[in-house]
Amino acid sequence: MRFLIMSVFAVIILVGCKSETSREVSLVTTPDGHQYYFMPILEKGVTDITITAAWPSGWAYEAGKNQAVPYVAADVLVSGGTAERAPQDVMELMNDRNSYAHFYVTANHAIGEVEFPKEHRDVILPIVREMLIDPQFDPKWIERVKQGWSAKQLQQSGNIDYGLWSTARQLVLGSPYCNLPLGR
Amino acid sequence: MRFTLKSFIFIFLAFALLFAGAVVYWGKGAKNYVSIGSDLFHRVVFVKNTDTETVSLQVVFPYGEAANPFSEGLAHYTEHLAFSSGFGATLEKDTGAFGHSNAYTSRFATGYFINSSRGKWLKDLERLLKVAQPLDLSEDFMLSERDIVMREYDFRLANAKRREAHRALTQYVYDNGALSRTVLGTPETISNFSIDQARQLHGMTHRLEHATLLVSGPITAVALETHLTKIKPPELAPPPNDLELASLVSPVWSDRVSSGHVAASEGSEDLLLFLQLRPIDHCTDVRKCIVLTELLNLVLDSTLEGGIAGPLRYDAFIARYFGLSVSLSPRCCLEIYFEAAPDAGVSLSELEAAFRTSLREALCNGIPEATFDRVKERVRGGLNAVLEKPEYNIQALSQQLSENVPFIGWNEKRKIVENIKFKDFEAFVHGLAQQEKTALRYLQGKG
Repeated sequence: MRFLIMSVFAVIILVGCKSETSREVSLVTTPDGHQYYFMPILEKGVTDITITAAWPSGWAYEAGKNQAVPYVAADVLVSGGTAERAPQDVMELMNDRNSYAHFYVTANHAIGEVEFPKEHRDVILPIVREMLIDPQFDPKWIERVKQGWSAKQLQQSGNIDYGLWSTARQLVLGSPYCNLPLGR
Repeated sequence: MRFTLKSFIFIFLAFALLFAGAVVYWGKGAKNYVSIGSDLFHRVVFVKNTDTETVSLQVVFPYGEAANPFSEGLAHYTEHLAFSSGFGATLEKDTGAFGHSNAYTSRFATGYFINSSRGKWLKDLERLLKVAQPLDLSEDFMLSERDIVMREYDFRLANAKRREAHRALTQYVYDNGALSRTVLGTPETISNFSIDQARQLHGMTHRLEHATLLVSGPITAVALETHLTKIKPPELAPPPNDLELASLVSPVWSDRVSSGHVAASEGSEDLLLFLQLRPIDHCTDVRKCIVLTELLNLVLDSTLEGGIAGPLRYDAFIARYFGLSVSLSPRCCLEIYFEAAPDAGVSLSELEAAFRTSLREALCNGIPEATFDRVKERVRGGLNAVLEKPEYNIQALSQQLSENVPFIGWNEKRKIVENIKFKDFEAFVHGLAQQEKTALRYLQGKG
């Protein structure tokens, strides 16, 4: 898994190094043989670079697995700090550079996204790299995130709209797709 | 070399031309919008946006729920009726893909908009202005619209206990006055809305001579200005003479804290709700106060020295989650709203004590200059990213209209930020620390 993350990141880190026609999407191969999609936006006023990477994973919707795990992990990766930096240091460094990182899961992918002004590339990319390959995973922080998800799930379970949607989903799709996206 | 009168005049004219050019250039750069004169409106504002095919038309009246002298929520009900009477019922089928339209009511304003196109904006602008005409709807329709408002209430304010607790906070700090009223009203007021009162409120508040027209899109200011001179003013009802709109009054300051415990709904977590007002009498330049407030919000919401996030969430495990909003109610006060869930093993009273200590230290002991500099730099960086993007300017102007505060385009904001020095920020924070008025509630969950 760690190798995979490093490989993918090595690919996306090259985004923004190559200039092409504005808004034209091309499939580019790195010297290491990794492919990525590249869309330069060479327009006045466009100052930020966005990098999106998706890892195939159906964990959040798979029967027999604890579905909450990928949600908690995604939150902890972004908010919980790295081996080298405390959570607050990561947050304030990102804020200083008007940069944003998100990590979320869907039915078939775990998706990471980072957005930053191009002049801060050399500061932000190493931090994101640390987040992905060397997260802190402090048990106390994980516990805090778990509590947050439990509270949210509890709140959702009392929501009539949510209950109706879940029931309709179960009736239409059946198992294993009937699993609620917030886990049990 | 000898200067003749002729060469002197030539040099003078050349400098004059350069100066005039600079004035025009910097004048344009200072604002991201153009004001256009109009006999019909209080103000017409145009933002050129060639990044889109949509011509966005928005008319905003500077009266919201806080100006409503009738039952709570009637301003929002009136907006529903004016929308339907004016254009809502006929617009979609006529305008097709560009026909998106909507309306809103805030505490301080009521706005209506149509997203139109190059080919239809002239016609759609005339449609939009019909919201100011006397309500032309059947009584049955107007009564049934109360049910629509009730459904909106159910949808938006589902958590009854939390809503009641929040309402208690605003009622206390704003002395049950105009600012304590909720835009949606309550089930009791909604079911008893009076058609007659809605007509009166509409006549009092939907006056084009008080309204701002905000237009943006791939058209020219000249085209808009030309068209405005040709628009036939809609027929307006005379405003009722014997009624007055509600006015804002400053809060009665009190050291007493309104507090209480509320048993939350099933499935809710423990939550602290906290609302505090602080005086802004010392802050006379509203534009500058708005930016100072934003800077203060960013400082408090950070883990930097002087912020509350460090002591509450990062240096110690006290607040598992918190949300902080510091906002300005012009002509009234600064509002600090804090909502937080405690970490495991932390009580609501411990959370409250930790928050109040952090807030007091920040406001009374001052905020370090290094923190101010760092946050100011963030705002500067954020502005650089949006300066050249018309859609962000339009969003900002729309937001300011809904809050009924003076316009601050991004270029103006950049200048204001540059001119704010640490001593200004220090004086602003010091002034806030002179008085406070607080209400809080413990929402005790049933997990």
